[in-house]
Amino acid sequence: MSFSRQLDNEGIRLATLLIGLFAFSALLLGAMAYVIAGRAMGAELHDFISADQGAVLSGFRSEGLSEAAEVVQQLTAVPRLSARYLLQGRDGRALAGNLASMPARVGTFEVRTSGGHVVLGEGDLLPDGTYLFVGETTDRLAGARARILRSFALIIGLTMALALGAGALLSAGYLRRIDAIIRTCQEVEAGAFGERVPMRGSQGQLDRLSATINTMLDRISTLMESLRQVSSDIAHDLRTPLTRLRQRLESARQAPLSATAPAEAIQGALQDCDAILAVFSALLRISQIEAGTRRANFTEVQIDVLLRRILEMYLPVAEDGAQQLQLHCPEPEGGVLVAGDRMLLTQMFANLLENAIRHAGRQAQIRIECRLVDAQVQVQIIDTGPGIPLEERDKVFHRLYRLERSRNTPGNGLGLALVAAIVKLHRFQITLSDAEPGLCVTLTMPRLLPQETASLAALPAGV
Amino acid sequence: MKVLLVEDDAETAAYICAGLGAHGIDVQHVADGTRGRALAAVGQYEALILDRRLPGLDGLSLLQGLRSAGVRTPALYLTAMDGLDDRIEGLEAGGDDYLIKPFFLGELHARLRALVRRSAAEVQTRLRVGDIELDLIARRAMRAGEELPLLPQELKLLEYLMRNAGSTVTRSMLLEHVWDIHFDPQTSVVESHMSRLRAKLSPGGGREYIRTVRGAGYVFVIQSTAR
Repeated sequence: MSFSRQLDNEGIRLATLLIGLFAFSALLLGAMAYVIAGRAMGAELHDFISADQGAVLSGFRSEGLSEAAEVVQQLTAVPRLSARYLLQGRDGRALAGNLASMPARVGTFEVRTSGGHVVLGEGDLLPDGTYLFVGETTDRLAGARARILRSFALIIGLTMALALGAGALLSAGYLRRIDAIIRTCQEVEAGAFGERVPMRGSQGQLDRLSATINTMLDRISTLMESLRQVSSDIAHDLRTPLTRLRQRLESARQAPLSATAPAEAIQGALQDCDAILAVFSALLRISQIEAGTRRANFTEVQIDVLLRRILEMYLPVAEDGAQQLQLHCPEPEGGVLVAGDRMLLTQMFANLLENAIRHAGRQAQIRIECRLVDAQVQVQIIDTGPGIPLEERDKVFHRLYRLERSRNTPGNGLGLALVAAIVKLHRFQITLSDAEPGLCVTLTMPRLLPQETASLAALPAGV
Repeated sequence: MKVLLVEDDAETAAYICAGLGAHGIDVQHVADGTRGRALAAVGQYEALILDRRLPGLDGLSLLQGLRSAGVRTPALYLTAMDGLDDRIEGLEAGGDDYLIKPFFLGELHARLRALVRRSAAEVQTRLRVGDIELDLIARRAMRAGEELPLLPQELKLLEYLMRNAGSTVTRSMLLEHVWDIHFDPQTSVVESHMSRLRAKLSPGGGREYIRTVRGAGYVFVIQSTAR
């Protein structure tokens, strides 16, 4: 950690500001103490002067000048080193006290003694014109002031040292943590996607910043993983049909040409191309949904209306396969509402229903049952077909997975993967169970009550 | 019919020019967005075919500019951008249809015809083709004055076919306009509905109202030419 960096950093700047503030307030406090102490001592001095003046004056009033001199003598005799007295006759001769005679000046003033002390006191005239001065050397006051100044200088010094130390320590801590964040980001940038910023477990700003960065890094990892998955899916699963296409064209070139062969080869090649393109766009769509950016498009979707529309759409298809298709759906006032992407939800139900129609076989019965369970909307799609073996129920949601017996029916193995992606995006739940016989797909969706639709705008974005 | 094609890929452009030319459509082609915008603003075209990724000016901005300048020529996007929101974005920018590359020429031709026809059609409350009549307000279909027992989705299907009578409509056009479906179903949704509609239009099987165009789609036959 270089010095210039220390100066640059916010912690030090803040500490410096604080030190200045501390020093200023200590200075102010010191000045106030200085002034207050001075005033207090001045008042004390004044009290002592008034008391002594009173004593001398009352002695004078009762028994005349000689008694006043006697009182001054007594006062002087008290071992109080700092007190100074002078009783001086009209002729300017000192009558009593421990000060040399001086000009009879009335009022508060300072005089310098022969011993080099400065005496602060009050001069006054007794009724007969005798001059009385009562005062005290300023050594005590000066000493007190000096002590106050010294202790405040010490306090200011200590405060500054403390603030400086604390600031440096604090900023070193911050710098270390920020360095850790920078290091983590650089490592991720360099390709170590598993790196995360260490957390302290406090609720401080830096911890929150670290947590936010970690969440962001998690998101990046998810996106990277999804990208990697799509690339490998494309590599694996487009290779097969592309190889088939190539073989078809190759054999068309080599085969002894009959009149219809080229047309058949072209027709077959076009079909292969269509299949490849379908897989391609389905994979892209799944990865787009998995990227999770579509939550921003959520609106209220009326599930009962959507199911009825899908039922009408597929009824003729089911009839053509001699299948029975039924829908049971409650019709509460305001409709059965969920928050979602209408287009994707349509595709989700269509895929599930098509799955039943295509795999349940002729004569099968297919029921769509919508129920309101607590705060949930539950939709079940139940068929009387062969069902899905227990051990394969999870796998059917994987991309490009197809049950062994379905290999020969058309389809690209992406229908249920798309359903899984849409379910995950919406944070719904989907389970497969045995309808004995047949398959029961249960979708559970949080129900949106009509009065809640206003809060839809407040749905969290992202996944 | 004269259309403007703004497409930067020379091979695709040549394919479209030749293919539509064979149908008697005069295609004028430019390769960059800025020139496309200038031509579209002054030329007398019946429709525009726009790529989205273009040098100079992208297709979205091009059309937005035209629309805000008051140019109402129907426009069809022909693009490889098939993200979930791309289509909505394109239509919101003033596009009238959105076709994803790769595409079949037949599909492009059918959509172009429907587009030009739609922009020319005035507001109608009643459609009549031959002896089939469709009341769009009462949602009733009649053959020779006799009401046909059509379900709501069959009525919508019939309406779309009749609006484009004499022209081929493709499977994906029907899915989009009749069912509002923007994906490719894995079951024969269109075929099943079509066979029911056909059966209801001519119960005895006599006259053929809807003809299948192999590999392309369906056409509602205009009787005077059919007979």
